[in-house]
Amino acid sequence: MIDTNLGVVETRFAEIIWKNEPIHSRELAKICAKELNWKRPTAYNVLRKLCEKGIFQNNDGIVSSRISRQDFYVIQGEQFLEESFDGSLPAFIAAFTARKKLSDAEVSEIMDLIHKGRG
Amino acid sequence: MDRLQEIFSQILSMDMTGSIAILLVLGIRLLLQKAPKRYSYFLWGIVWFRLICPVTFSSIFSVLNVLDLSGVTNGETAQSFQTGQMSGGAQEPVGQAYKEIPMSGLTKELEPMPNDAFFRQPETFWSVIWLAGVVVLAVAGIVSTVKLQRKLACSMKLRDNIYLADYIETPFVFGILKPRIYLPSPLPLREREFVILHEQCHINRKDNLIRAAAYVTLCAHWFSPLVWLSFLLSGKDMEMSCDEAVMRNMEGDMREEYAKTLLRLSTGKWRIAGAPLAFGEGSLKGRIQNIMNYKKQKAFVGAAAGLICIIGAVCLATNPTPEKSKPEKEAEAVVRIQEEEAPLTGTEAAETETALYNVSDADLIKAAQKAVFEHNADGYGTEYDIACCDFAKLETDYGKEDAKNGVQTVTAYGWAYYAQYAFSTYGIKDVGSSHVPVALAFTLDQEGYHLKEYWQPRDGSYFASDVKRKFPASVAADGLDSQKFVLGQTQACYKQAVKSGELDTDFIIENLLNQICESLPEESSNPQDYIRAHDGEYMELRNYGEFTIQYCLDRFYQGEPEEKTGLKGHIMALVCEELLGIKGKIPVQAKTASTGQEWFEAFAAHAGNILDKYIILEKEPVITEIGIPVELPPNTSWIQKRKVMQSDENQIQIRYYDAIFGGECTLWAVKDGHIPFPRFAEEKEADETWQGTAKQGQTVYVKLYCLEEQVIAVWEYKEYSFAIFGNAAEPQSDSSPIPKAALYVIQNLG
Repeated sequence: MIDTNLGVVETRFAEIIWKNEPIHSRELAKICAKELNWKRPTAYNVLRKLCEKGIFQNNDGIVSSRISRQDFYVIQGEQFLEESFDGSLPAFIAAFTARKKLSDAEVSEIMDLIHKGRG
Repeated sequence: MDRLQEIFSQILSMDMTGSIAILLVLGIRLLLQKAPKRYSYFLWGIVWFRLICPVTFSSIFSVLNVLDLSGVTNGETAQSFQTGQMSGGAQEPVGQAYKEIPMSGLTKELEPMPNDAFFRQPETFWSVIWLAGVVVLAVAGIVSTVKLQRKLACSMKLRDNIYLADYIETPFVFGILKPRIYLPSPLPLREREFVILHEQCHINRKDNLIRAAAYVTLCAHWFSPLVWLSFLLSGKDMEMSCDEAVMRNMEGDMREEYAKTLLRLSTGKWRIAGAPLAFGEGSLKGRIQNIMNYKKQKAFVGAAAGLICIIGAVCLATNPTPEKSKPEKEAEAVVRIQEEEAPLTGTEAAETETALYNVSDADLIKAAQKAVFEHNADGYGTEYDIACCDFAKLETDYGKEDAKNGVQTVTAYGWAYYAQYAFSTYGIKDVGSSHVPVALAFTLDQEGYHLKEYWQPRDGSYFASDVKRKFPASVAADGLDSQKFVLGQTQACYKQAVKSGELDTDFIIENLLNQICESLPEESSNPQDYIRAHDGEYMELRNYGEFTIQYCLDRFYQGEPEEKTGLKGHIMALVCEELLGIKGKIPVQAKTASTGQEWFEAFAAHAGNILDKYIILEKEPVITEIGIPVELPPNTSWIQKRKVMQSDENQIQIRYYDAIFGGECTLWAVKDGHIPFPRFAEEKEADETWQGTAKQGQTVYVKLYCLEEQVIAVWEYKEYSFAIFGNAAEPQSDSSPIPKAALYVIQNLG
């Protein structure tokens, strides 16, 4: 089971990996030092944690992702739906559109998606 | 191990005083409930100061004065700074002429420590437990700090010194040297500003340092629940006062917004972090309440609260004034110089009444001496001729009265001196002695005193602290001052020995003096060198006390001139001066006098009343050949070396030395004639006229002529002419002894 519960900082780190993968862990550490001001052991530690969560993997020093960025956010969205709307997408959309009306462009886009998904 | 106990006992005493301060601050905090919390926070600072700082200032406003804890702070604190105090009996008595037997044998009779000392005396056991507690807490603190540090390593810099971190529950400040603000990463933007302001306030006030110091103090005082309480409460006050600071610095009334922020912070779904050193805790409800109650304060509220704070601070921060020293005895007039007072040694019989009995000092001291004697009897296993003891009482404590059974408890605190002596032709030999402060508890009933407890301090490093604990505070210092009493007590014992052994003290003292005057390998003219070379003999001289004084004064008064002016005279002068305790009280010092005799004459002139105790002057025979009694003042120490030069029916001439006047004088009495005195005097007017009264009431006028080194007094009575010529070595400022002598003569003219 992939754990997509990430904190803000960890997410930032993950973004760096997605942007630069596949990347050697040493390189990764260098980038982190520059962007986040992290020491090397820190970068390795966080990397290890994210690998344990099943998001990334470290093969002989080469770091790559196991799920793509897109898939990751989708899974997060699914969890959100599950927690907040009992897993019901319609419920979410109902709640969403209650506050903010959908624009015409958005409606067509969604209709297209529905058709694609059905078919 | 001693060091550990010292530190622990110091912590204990600081804890006691600190606890009082804490209770007080709790009280003040109640008073200041409605006022801003920063005043209470300030007061907590004082509390921490008391808990960790052994050195404070004395002030009569200290709250501890009221509770009379001066003994605690001074005693306990001072105790830890004492090093290597003398052990029970292994002290060298001052008069050590002979080898002393070590004292360890005396400890066989030690009483067990009373039970309440369990808490007052930090034994090794408790010290170690305390240390263990400190270590545990310190380690816990370090461990959690390290863990937190690791968590914060993977944090992200937002700006300046503000970082976002993933797994922390509340925002906080972390770091001693370079404090950083850490915010929980999910914190929404809106809330951030308030939080940052709040945390910045902490940094500005150096709260991170204060909190760390407070935790260190907590480690040291881990056993005290009050300290834990104040740690928690001061934490709360810290938070709330920062909330107030944020409010103060904001435009308009932001209280509601701020409160909402606090609420939102507390309901976020974040993982547990938490370590004791990174604050950010504080009961939420309390903070919200405080914020809603906060009004940008009116000036006088602040001033009032501030005033309470300052008063509280002075009361809490300062120690009570130490006991005032007893006022010095008033200086005596020069002529009546007192000998130094010895402590009570059984000769003074003060009486005190308690409800049950007349507690007579003399009886108590007798009982004490008996107790000392029995306690030490044959403690040395040596051959001896006599055992003597002396008890110098410092304080009496009247304890419980049991009226039903007619029993009264009395405790005597003082120095017990016990000695075993062997006699020889050359004097007393000390074959075993001890000098120990003791506390003797008696019960007094109709039959007399019964010894209940013979308390002595333990050896070694416990000695001083034992005495301090057992003895009343007013005499505790004396209880440790062996030097102050040992000579007097030795002298008392020697006196007993001399009396019992019927010793010839003159012979003994003469011998000692002769030994001191033995020639040194290097010739010296300084008597101090001889004393130093024979300091054993000199100490023995001191031990004989009164006997030595008597011997020396006798020699000065009637001895051979060589004795008085030579080395022996000097030594006698030195020892007399010391034993009489009149150093500096007469114009001549034995050290600087050219001869012992010179010193003696000054002594006789200015402290004649003391001399009279030792020397009974013979009554001068009254001269009556001339037809009327002519008499110089007898029994005075300042009229010395009287010599009748001539005495017949027409003329009397007596020569004498007047010590106060400082010169040779001659008394003339001539019948039906004139006294041959210098011609110029006849032409001169008298400088002074004195008036005297003869035995039958006639008034006689004495004319006094003062001429440089000569003073002449002349008068006439009936058919007689009198004169006193005084020749001083130097011009005198005080010529009165001459006319005074004249008046005395007149007084007796019948």
